[in-house]
Amino acid sequence: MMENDDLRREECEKFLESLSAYLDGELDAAEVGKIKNHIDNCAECRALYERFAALSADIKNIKTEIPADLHSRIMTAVRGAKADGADGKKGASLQTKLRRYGLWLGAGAAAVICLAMIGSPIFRGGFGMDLAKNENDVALYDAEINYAAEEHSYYAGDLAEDVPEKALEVEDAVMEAQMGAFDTYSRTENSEHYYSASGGGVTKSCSDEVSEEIEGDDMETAGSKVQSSENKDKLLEILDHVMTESTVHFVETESEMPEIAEDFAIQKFFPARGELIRQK
Amino acid sequence: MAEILISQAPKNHEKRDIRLAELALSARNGSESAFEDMVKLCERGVYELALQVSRNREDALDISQDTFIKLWQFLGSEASLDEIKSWYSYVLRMARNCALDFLRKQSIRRHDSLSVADEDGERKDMEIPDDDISSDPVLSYYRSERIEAVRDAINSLEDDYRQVLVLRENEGCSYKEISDIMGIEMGTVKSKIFRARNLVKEYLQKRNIF
Repeated sequence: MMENDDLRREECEKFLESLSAYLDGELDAAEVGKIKNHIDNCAECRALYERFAALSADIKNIKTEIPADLHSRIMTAVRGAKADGADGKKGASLQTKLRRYGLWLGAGAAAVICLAMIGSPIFRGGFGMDLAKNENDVALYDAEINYAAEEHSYYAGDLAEDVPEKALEVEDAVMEAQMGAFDTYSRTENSEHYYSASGGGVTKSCSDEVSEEIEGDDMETAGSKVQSSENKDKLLEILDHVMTESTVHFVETESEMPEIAEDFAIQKFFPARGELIRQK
Repeated sequence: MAEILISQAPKNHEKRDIRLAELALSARNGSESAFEDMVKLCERGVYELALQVSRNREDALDISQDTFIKLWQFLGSEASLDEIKSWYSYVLRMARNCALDFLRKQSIRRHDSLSVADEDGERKDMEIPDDDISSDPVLSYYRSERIEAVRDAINSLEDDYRQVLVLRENEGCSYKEISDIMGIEMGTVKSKIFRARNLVKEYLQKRNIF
């Protein structure tokens, strides 16, 4: 008897997802035949199917209140965009974007920027990513994420100009790649070195020696160097602001940053699109 | 066994896509009224999806506006229209991308429930009115309590599950359309919808609502 029950449950398991698809009319004729036969002979699955059907009806009864002025607001916005001549181009300069996100590198200073890339981003939920590990992290990530998203939207916008039919695909890729944030660290060309964490607004000093010590390292490698390093405290300070699963990378000038970001993005997340970029 | 209604993938979606394709061509050729008709056909679905992603009415409005601006820009570009197989899916996908982009830029944290800020800035649950109230007060009470519970159950779902379920139940999208909109495989759509329904069922069972 027990063996029969196990076999029956195994049989039911095979049909569970199909019950839902059957309700939605998404099965082909052969599958419909099988599921109907199963439902006719299995009280539990029949009950589940009926429950799903009832839920489906209930959900349809939940009406979203549509704003009365939805249409007029949409058309006003579109007409406004037409009047402004908005054409989807990303007009803001890199300088503007950097300033927008609080990267306050002095005018004319040759900045060295440390770029931390996210291999497997930690993000808040809703994008299929893991949630930030704690609320403090989220606060730090927010500004960083905006910056990265903006940069990659810029990149997608550039591509959209040249290959418009691919624009949506590229934007999808940008989002699906779930690019996280950049931690930015910078130093002046003079003896005064500093870094700033774009999210926390912390400004501290960072020497060449320290930056060279962890250049190109992922967090695990960089972390393993901390204990034996003469710059242990400084490394801890920096790594404290770098997201887990990032790679630390320095560039010589501020203007290199988007290029490096694009290279990283292409290599890491868009290998198929890399070819598309080269065809531009 | 009681008669169970099987909902087929509605053929009126095909008609809608054909109509949208015609309007898109007219809009590209300069017809403003054609573009406006496209908006009318898609705005409700766009707003609902934007609301599901953003969980905020005002943001959903902004996202809806962004979506149609993007659509207008796309129609004004040189991109081929022939590549678009399902215009409705295309527009909703655009809406979802706009919503995700909007959220990133706004650094909006995930809310546990649909909410709006009242005049004191406190967040309160957004009311989704139930238009279908029976005239029998007792039946009305039980029905509205159930609808309320189902709504709570849906709001408790993770974003992807909630979105696929709403696209299926409220928009009547086919699995193929949902696959296009969400950018996920058909098999994933099938399993996510099943899983979402099961989670709603379990939520209700825990609250002794059957």
